[in-house]
Amino acid sequence: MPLYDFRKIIRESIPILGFCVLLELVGGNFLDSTKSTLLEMPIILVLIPVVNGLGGNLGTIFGSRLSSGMHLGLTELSWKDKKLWEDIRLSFLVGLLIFLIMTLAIWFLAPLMGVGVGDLRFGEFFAIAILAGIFATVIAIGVSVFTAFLSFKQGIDPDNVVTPLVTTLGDISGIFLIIIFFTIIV
Amino acid sequence: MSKESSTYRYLKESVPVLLLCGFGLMVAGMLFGLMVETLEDHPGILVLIPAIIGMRGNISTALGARLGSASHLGLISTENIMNRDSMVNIKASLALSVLMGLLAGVVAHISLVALGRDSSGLLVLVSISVLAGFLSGLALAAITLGIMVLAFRKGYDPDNITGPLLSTVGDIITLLLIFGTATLIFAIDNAIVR
Repeated sequence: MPLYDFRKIIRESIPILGFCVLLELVGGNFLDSTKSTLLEMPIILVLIPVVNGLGGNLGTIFGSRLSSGMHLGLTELSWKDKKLWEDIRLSFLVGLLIFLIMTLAIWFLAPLMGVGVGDLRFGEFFAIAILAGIFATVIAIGVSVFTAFLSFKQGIDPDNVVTPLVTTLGDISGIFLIIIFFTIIV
Repeated sequence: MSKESSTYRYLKESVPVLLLCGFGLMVAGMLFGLMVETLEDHPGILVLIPAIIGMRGNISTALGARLGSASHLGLISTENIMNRDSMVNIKASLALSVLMGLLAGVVAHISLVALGRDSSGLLVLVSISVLAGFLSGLALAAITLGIMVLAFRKGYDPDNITGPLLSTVGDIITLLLIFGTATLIFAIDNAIVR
């Protein structure tokens, strides 16, 4: 039998994707509930794709490397695996650097494009963005490791499970983290 | 492949891609930030946005990851990029886009009604999410193959490239398509009501 089968992909993907869509809708409803405050400071909306996306990116690069490593037998199914920890440290440092750059870029570029800032101050925006970014990165890496191990042990292709879970949990945690820090700080 | 070279490759290939993605995502974010009026005028769209972008990203990055694994396993390469293995993967990703768009639209409407908030209507939300989901899926499948060919030619590991690039380009395209299809569906809706 060929490795890739239409029915097998659909069968393996539907439960996880459906679960992810439902989770995203929870995030969407959460956003919708703070709609009136958010629409007064649209620069916070700019943060959402950036934190969600970069958190997800750091997690998916990590997850893809992990699953290719496991397909090829380079990475072991062990918490003591040295390469695993080195990748975790590397992803975290890279995440921190990237979020610092992006926070500054958004603060200075978004208003130039006509995105409203409202009463938000730089210190508040910086704190919200960096805190949300760091927490999102840690969560994405954690979920990535956990789901890769779990799906490999269950004999499911991790490519079909790890990435969706990592990005979705990245999205949800991104939205929640931004809204939570926004509520605390502003 | 030694550990050092793998770390170096990660930094060399991933950091520029992540920065590029960061700025791409910022563009997506600005689109989001500039569409405040549409969000205010059409209740329910804000609920759908994370779901549509999320499922788009999930389906397309899974496609990219499966094609990446397929290339590592030697099943596809530049010469046979349109072979059976990649076509099966692409068809499956489009079928999943339609199914998940349907689910997102239905559940978004139900959840809004259940929470006692405004919704633009079941048919409107479902049409927007299915149409935006399918069209962005089609666009991203084409882009995935393009990126794969490029990664092969440059000798990059597709794993370090396709995921982040796809999710970023995907976010921008999907946001544009959500607002494009929303505008279209609302125009049709208004025409029918009148």
